[in-house]
Amino acid sequence: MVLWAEVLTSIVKFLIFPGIVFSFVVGLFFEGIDRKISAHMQHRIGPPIWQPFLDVGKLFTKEDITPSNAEGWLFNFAPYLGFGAIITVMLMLPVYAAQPAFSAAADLIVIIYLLNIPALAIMLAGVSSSSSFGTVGTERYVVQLFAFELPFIIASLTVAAQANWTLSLEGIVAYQQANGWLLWELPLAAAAILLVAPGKLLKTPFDIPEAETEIVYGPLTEYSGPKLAVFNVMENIKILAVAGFITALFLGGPTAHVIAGVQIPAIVDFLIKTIAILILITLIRTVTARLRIHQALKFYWGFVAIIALINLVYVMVI
Amino acid sequence: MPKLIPDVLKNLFSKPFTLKYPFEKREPPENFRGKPKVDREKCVSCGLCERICPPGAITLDDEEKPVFDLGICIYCAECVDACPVEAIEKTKEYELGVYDRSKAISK
Repeated sequence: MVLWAEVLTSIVKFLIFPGIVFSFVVGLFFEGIDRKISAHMQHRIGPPIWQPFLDVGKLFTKEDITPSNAEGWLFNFAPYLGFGAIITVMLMLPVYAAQPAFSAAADLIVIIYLLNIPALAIMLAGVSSSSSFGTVGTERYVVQLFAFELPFIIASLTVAAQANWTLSLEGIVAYQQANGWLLWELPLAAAAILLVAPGKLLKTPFDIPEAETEIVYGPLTEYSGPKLAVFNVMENIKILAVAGFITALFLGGPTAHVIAGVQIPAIVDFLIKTIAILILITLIRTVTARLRIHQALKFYWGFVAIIALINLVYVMVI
Repeated sequence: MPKLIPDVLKNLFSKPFTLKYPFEKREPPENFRGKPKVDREKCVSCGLCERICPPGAITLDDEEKPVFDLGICIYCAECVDACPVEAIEKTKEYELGVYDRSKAISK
């Protein structure tokens, strides 16, 4: 009996919450909120908040074309590779409580690596499509990946160092519930990771690989129809995953509150914090222009990595 | 740091500038050159409008009164200026879409 219940709970967690359905719905709503707020910042009304659902639905009705010179199996496999990886990340983040849905291997380092697999999937998509736009986009994405990974890893290790070297997100959330948010204790690392977030999510000023005014759509130029829809959904779930990761590391993760006698579940707290991070990313994306790839590299290695390193040295020495 | 941030935050909390077109329309200004319309009583059939029309959108029908083909008309209002008895007036109508080309005329 107990085994049956456990298997059923696992299937529900994987398929519905916080697995595929939850990530899909909330991720697409995040894109809708991002576009709506960006539009109001530009003094116009934007599309309605549910527009990304209509976009994905439309893409599923379009024809699926594979260029004849493309590497067939890799071209077709790349979207699903990225999608699977990002759903796995969502299953390993603390979303509704301090424990993630599947906590067997939910390690800080595993999540950092898994968050790179969608990027890898886009890079493989770029080189396996036979267009030169794809190749250029992939080259730029490789350089950008080198650029932002360094401060990202330094900032994550700073958090682990502060929390007595626990590497599980559960332990980091528990440390913050005892000692307050790490945002106040490690401000430089928090600033570093908030500057890495637009780079990871390919938002202006770091949307260099998919620079639509320069190289059509970068690595995803030759994709159409359902595969492009899967890439689109993957990108949006990545916003939720990165914001959720930053919440777990610096903003205390999901915590349940009791306000005026009403029990507010931890998931509401999680959504409010991730939407706050989303609004910050939207603000940065609305007011800046795109950088060139060598400027992005110089910025990440020259400035952001240095402030993260200062914080790491401070934590380890003091 | 961009100096746009105060402007952007001010925009975020003020009413957007967008006009929700089919539900809210804006009145065209004075002297707007919309659909040309002829008053058949005043017309003396001189033919000056047909001669002056740049793309040739005006033809005279069986009663020698002008008929405007709205698909060819460029809405320049030269016919309005040319008419000696001021029988042609320019209206402010601009929503002139039709599904059938033969209905796009103004008599």
